[in-house]
Amino acid sequence: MARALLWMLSDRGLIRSPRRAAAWGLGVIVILMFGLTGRLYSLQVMHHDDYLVQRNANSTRSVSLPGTRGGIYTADNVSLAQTTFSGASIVVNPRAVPGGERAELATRLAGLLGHDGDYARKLEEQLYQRRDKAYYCVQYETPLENIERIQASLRLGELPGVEIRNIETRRYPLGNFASQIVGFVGRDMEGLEGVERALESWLAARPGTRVTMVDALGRPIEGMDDAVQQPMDGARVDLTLNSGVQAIVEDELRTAIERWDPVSATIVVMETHSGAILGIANYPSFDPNDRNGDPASRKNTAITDAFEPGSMIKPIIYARAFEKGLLTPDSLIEYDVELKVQGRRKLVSDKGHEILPEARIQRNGREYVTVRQAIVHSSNTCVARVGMMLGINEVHDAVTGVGFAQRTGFDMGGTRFGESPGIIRKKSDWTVPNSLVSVCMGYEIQVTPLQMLNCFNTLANGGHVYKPYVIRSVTGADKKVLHQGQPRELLDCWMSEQTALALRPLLADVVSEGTARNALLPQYQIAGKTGTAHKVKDGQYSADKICSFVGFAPAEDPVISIIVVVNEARGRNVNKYGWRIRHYGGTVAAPTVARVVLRTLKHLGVPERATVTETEE
Amino acid sequence: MRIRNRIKQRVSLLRALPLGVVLPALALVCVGVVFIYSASTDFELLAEGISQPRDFHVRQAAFAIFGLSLMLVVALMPPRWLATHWYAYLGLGLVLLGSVLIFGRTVNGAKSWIMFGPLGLQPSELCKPLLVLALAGYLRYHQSVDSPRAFLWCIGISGAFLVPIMLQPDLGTALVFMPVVGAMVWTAGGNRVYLGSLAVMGLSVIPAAYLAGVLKDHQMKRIEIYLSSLGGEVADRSGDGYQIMQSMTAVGSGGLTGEGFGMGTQSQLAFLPERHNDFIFAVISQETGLIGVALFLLVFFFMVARMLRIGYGTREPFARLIIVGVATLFFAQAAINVGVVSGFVPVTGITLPLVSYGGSSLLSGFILLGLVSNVAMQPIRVIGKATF
Repeated sequence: MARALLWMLSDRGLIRSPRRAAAWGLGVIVILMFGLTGRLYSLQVMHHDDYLVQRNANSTRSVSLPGTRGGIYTADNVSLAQTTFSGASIVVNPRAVPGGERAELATRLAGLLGHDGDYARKLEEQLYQRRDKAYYCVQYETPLENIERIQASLRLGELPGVEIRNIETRRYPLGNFASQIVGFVGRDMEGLEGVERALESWLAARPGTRVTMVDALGRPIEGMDDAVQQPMDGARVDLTLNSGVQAIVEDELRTAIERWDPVSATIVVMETHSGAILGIANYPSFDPNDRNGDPASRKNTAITDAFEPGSMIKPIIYARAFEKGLLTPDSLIEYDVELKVQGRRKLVSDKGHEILPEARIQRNGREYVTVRQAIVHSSNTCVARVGMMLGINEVHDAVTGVGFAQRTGFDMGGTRFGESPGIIRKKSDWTVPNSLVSVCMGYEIQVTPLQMLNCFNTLANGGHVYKPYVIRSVTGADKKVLHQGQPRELLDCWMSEQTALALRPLLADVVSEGTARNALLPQYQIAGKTGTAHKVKDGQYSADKICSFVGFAPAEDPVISIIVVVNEARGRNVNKYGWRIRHYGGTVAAPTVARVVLRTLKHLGVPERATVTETEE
Repeated sequence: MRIRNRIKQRVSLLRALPLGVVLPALALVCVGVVFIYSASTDFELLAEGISQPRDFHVRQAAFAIFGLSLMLVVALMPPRWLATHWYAYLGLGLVLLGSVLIFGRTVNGAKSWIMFGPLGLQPSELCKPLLVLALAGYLRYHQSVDSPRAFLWCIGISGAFLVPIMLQPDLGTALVFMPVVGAMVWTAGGNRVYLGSLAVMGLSVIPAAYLAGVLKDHQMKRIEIYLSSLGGEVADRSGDGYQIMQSMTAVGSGGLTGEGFGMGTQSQLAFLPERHNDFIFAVISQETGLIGVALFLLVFFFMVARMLRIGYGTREPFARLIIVGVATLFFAQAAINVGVVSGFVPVTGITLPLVSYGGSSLLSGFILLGLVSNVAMQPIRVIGKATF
């Protein structure tokens, strides 16, 4: 080693030995050759794929070929959402315009678009400023005759860098008709709410691509074989909504709003035997064509807003007692107008809607009423007694077993759409007798309108808790059925058909002689239950109420189930005697129910009942 | 009659033309013409009517024919003319370089062109054979450059070429001259210590300056781009790194077998700057792949190896010095060019000898080949085995 170093430093020969020099030189050259070849090997073989990606990124541009987003239709084929092409845009790639031709192009384009020289100068200025950019939209929504002239000019190759692009827009022809179900799309045609959002993957068109070669200036090379993948149009969505029913529902909702001026209101009509939604309307509502509306109005309050249902829950408690064999419709319950429950500070009171003394049965110095009377007059004291008889476990099972405190599985539901599961407190948090009695009267429990409707639909169809659904079918652009909506049971309900059938006449009596007399129709027998619940404001029950009615019709053979919820009616209306109408489920919600049911059943062609009253007269 | 006989006699020397050098060189020139055709013809753009056909390949072929005759002329010159008047070549070089500094025209930031009407001349290219001639001529008389004085003379001669070239600035050519001077002085028996220390100094200037932080911003940026390109991820792709990024993309996307002649998108679609010129190797890489490139380098290696073989065989010091100079020049320039194209060496404007487009570059290459042929064709080549 040391000797080699010495040799390196000493210099003996005058001219190098040619042999050694050649060896040295050749050695250096071979090493360099290996180095370079290794580098080339590294680039061309080891990292070939990376550079291929880079090359393609350089020289190919993928142009998206838009497909058409699928339409949304009602069950009877009325278009709720459709895609239209709102005229073409004239687009220039300023980079592809040679500097010398800029003025000429601007003049020509201005002429084709029907503008003067002033416009041409401005256009030229714009093109100059954007000369490093690849996109400049000269005009949106160009009239057709201009398009044709530009196309002709393009064919002659007179317009370098100019392109015509179609711009897709989504239109909702019926405006706020079922808007909370239909939803709307954002600027990039992505569904943001409602069906548009829930079925985005089906509705959205799969855009095709055309991969074009471009040169370093971004100019497409036309002669090359473009790899074209055709776009796939989005699927067509048919809803279960019936346009007639929906129109009725919206119309009646509007009438109710005018009359009662509530904070919000909801009407939902459901097909009894399937759980399909026929009509759904919420107030406030919005027009999906107008993106600047109040975001709060986009809420589908039928699923997002849970409320204390009040008396509407009572039939469930009775049904549980029927089911357990503890009561029959004709059983007697001891009746007090006011009931002091041991351990509960507040009296349970029927004040205001007491069962008339002549309906009471006197025995052993005590007063009794039948279950029928208790339901028909919505007695609080009776349901409290029944609740206490059942006990916490049974009442808890009763309310959870019909789908409360559980999301409905509605197509437009789930956390994505802010569906509320409602609230039932844990059984261990219930207090006897406070919670027990409160729940039986529809307090300390929150349900959404749709849950309540679904629950009564169970009574109507003989004990099936269906998943409410609104998507009837989804049909691909290739006519293939991608999804078929059908009745599905949400849960295994405890209610037997017998119990449901037993309750039906009682609920019919509520309408014919009870709290919901305002919903009495000669043509159809409605069965249902009113609810009037005080709203909690500032931690206390206030005088403001949620008035509601839930039921089904016709009572004997239900076709539709319906719920009307009017939140905080503020309108002051007087009846024909000049008395102010007080806000109850029976006064506020029931008239609306009657009109909706009448019009809906007529629309659906349900035969009217043999008009007993007329023959009697 | 005597003159005629002498010419006849000289022409008969052509039988000894070193075909092992000339044929690979001509092959390289042909490859160059072919790929200049590929690189300067934007086939797709032509079809579109956007681009005009360019005749770089025709001009290159014309230059090649002219260069070939120039090579023969140089090859047939009496060797004494070449060997004795080294100061004349030095002077000619200085005149050329001086005039370019005065009358030159600036292209791409470097004042390296003299225009004669439509024809441009790059004196720094023509200085390559002049440097080799001048240095070989000097060293022939001073076979031992062991003395500091002779060594300084060598530095002086090469400096006379290097300094004006660096002033243009044409750092690429200057960079190529260094190994040429080193190899020639070393072959002539230059002091290893002097040479070694000079080489170490030269090689450490840039890293030392980089670490010391005395470089200007744009220079620092260049180095950072270079360092990033070594790893494969080029920095500042849209700015200063654009060239090297596009070049590496061209090389890398060629893969093993290449994309086919005229199918290299990087050059055909004009992503690659200077594609018929400094970056012709990238075009070859993309269109022929590693196999083509390896073949190309093999031909180049064969040519240089043949040159060295001739140098090894001759006892004439001048011949040996010329050959070492020319071989080093060709190889160093090619190696640096390939290194630049593949992101292995910082970007310096330097052509691929015999291949890149450019009249001056091609003519200088042919003159260098002529020099090699000249010394190779001299009748007394091997008298006996070298005694030292």
